[in-house]
Amino acid sequence: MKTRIELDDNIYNKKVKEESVSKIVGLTKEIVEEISKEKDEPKWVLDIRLKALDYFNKLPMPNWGPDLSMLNLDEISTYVKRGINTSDKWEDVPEEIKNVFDKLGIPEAEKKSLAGVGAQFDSEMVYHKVQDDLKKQGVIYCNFDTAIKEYPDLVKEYFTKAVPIMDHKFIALHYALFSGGSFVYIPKGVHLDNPLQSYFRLNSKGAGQFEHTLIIVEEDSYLEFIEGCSAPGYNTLNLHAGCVELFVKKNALLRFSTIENWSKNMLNLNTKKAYVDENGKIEWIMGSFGSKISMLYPMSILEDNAKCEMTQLSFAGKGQNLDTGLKVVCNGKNTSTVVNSKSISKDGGICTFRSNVLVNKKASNSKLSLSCESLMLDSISRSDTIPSCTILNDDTIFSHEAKIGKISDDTIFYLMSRGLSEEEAKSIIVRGFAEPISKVFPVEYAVEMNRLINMELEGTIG
Amino acid sequence: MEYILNKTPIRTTNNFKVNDLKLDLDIIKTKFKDFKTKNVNINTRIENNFESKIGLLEDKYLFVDVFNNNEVGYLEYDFDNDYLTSLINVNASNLIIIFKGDNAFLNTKIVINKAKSVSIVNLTSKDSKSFISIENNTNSIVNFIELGGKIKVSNYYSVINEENSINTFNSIYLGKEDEVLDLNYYIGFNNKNTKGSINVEGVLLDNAHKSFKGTIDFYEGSKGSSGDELENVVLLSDKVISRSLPMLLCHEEDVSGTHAVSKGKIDEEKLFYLMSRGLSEKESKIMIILSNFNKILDNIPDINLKNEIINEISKRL
Repeated sequence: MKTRIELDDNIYNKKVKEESVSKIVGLTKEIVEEISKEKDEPKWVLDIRLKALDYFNKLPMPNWGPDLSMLNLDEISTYVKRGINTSDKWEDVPEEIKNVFDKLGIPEAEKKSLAGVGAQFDSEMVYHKVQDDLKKQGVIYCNFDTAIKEYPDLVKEYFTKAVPIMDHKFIALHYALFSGGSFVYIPKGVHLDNPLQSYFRLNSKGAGQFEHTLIIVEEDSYLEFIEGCSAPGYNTLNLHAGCVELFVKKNALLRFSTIENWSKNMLNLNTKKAYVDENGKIEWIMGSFGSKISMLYPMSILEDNAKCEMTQLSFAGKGQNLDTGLKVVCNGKNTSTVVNSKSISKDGGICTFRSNVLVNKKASNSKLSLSCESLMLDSISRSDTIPSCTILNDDTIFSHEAKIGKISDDTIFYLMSRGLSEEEAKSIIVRGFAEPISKVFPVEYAVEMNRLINMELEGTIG
Repeated sequence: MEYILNKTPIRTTNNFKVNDLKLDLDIIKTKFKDFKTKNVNINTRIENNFESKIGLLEDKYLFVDVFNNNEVGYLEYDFDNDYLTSLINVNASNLIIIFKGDNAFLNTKIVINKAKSVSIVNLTSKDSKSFISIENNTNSIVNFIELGGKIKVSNYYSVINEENSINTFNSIYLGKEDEVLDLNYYIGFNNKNTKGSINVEGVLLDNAHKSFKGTIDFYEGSKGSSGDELENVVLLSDKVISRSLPMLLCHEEDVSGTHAVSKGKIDEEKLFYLMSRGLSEKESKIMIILSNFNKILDNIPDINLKNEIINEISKRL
C-alpha cells in the first residue's frame, strides 16, 4: 500500500510573460539615480544609495564561504519596472500576477489566518493590506517605498541603523538598489493575534530582487511575521540581496518565520539583523529549500535579559550550496540563546551551518546553547558545521553540539517490516527528522514545508 | 616582521578574527645545541628550508631522527634565552619530548612515523614563544601539554589512511597574563571504519587570549568512521578572550561525528563543597582544574613527569 502524496511543483514554477516589462541592467551611478528618480524619492534616500554604491565598489568580495565568482552584475537586471501601483485590492493586481499568488495560496491564507499581507513581484510591491481594526490601533504595515514618503521620520530613525551600509559588499549593493519590501510598526502594547505575511516573488529571468523589510515592535507588543520567497527556474543566474532590519523593544516579542524556496538558479545573499532590547525576545524560524547558493546568517544583538531562539532547517539537493547559520552578539547581562539547526543534503548538495557568537564583557551570566544535526542521504553530498564563538567574560555558559549521521538501517528495516517500501520508509524518517522544526511553523506553513520536503525527496531516494 | 600563521583548513567570516593569527615577530637566531636524551638514539644534522603547517618558514633547522624500542624514551631541549628550529622525526615506541626554558624561541615540527604513544610537553615560560607543529602518520596516541610562555602556537595534523585505525589527540593548555594561544588541530578520515578524537582541556586567566580551531573532516569513502571533538575550557577572569571554532566537515553519509564545546566559569557547587572542607578558594579552584586535566595527564607514562606538570600548572595558576 502506497501513501504517496501527489505533488504539484508547478505552483513554484509558474512564469509570467515579460512583454510589457522594462528592465534596467547593470550597476552605475546613473542607474542608481534613475531608480531613485523612478521612485520619486527624497534626496536623503538618494544620498544613501550613492554612498552605498561607493562602498560596493570599494568593498572586497568575501574570501570565505561558497564561490560567488559566477556572479556578473553587468548581466543582472537591477530594476524590473512593470508600472504597477501597490493596491490593497486583489482585483487591482493584473490577472496574470494575481494568478501566481493565487496558486501560491496567498489570498486564501489572508482570508483564513493572516492579519495582513504584502506581495512583491520582481522589484515592486503589487499588493499590501492590513486589517482595519489593526490600523485603528496604530499598526502600520505597508510597502517600504510608501513608508519612505508617508512616515519619513520613523523610517529615518531606524533605516540603516541595524544593518549599516558598509557591513559587507552585498549589503552595500542592496542599499544602492533597494526596491519594495515591507515596513511594519507595531505600537506599544499591541498584540497581534494573527501573523502578517510578506511574499516575495522574483519572476524575471536574470533579475535581482533587493527588497528592504523594516519592522519595529514597540514595548510590550507581539508580532508574528512570515516571509515567503519563491521564483520560477531559469537557466541564467538570478540574484536576491534583500535586507531585513528588526527592532524588538523592551518586553516585546517578535517571531520572524521564513520559508524560502527560491529557484535553483538563484544566488540568495540576504542579510537580516535584529536589535533586541531589555527583556525582549526574537524567535527566528527558517526553512531554506531553494537557491543555487545561499549565504544567510540572521544576526541578533541582545541587551539585558534579552532572548534569542532559532529553529532552522536546510535541505540541499543537486547543485545547491546552502551556507546558512546565525550570528549572535550578547551585549547585556543574563541573555539567553537557544539554537536548534537541522540540515539534510542529497544528490551532491552542500549544507553548511556557520555560526558566529560574540559574548561581550558586560554580558555576564549569558547562556548559549547551540545544537546542529545533519542528515546525509548519500556520499556525494556534503555537510559541514563551522561554528565560531568568542567569549570575553568569565561567567558565560556556552555549549555547542553537532551531530552528523545517516539514516539508520535498523530503522528502515523496522519500517519495511511493517509493510512500507524502502522509499516510503526513508521519506518518513526524513520527515520525522524535520518534524521538530516544521511543527513550530503555523499549520499552513508546516504543510508547505512538508510539501517542499516531499518535493525534494520525490524520486531521489530509495 | 608581520606573519600570518596557523590558518584554518576552511575560512569563515573575518570579523571574528579566528581564521588565522597575525603576529609581529623578531627572530634572533643562535647556534643549535644538543638534545638531552634517555632510552633513545638520535641522529642530528643541519638542513635547509624549514616549513610546517603553522607557516613560520626558516632557512636552517636541526633535523633530529629519534629511535627507540619498547622503553619510554626521552628527548629534552632546555634553552633559556635561546633559539631552536627543528624537525623531530619520530621512529620510536613510547616517546616523551620536553621543551624547557625561560625566554626561549621554539619553532619545531614533530613528524610521527612510528610510535605507540608520544607525549609532547611544552614547559617553556616567561617571554618564550613556541610554534609546535605535530604531524601524526601513525595510529599512536598523542598527548600535548601546552603550558609555554608568552606566545604559544600549535598545530596537529593527521589523516587516517588505514582501514580500522584509531587516532587520538589529547591536549591541555593554560594561558595567563597577556599570553596568546593559537591552537589549530585537524584529523582527516580517509578510510573505512576509522576512529579519531580531539580532546582539549584548558584554563584561561588574567588577560590571556586564546583561539582554538579544531577540525574533524570525513572524506568520501570513510564509511563506518566516527570522530569526536571536545573543548572544555574554564575561564577564571572576565578579561580573557576565548575564541573557538570546532569544525565538523563531512563528505560521507555513513559516519558518526560529534563535537562539543563547553566554556564557563568554575563549577560553584564543586567550589563550595571543597571550601566547606577547609580548602582555600585558590586551592579549591586548582584542585577542580587539575581534576579536569587528570584524564589527559593519566596518559603520560611517567609518574614523575606527570607530577612535575601538575606542580607547574599549580604554580602558574
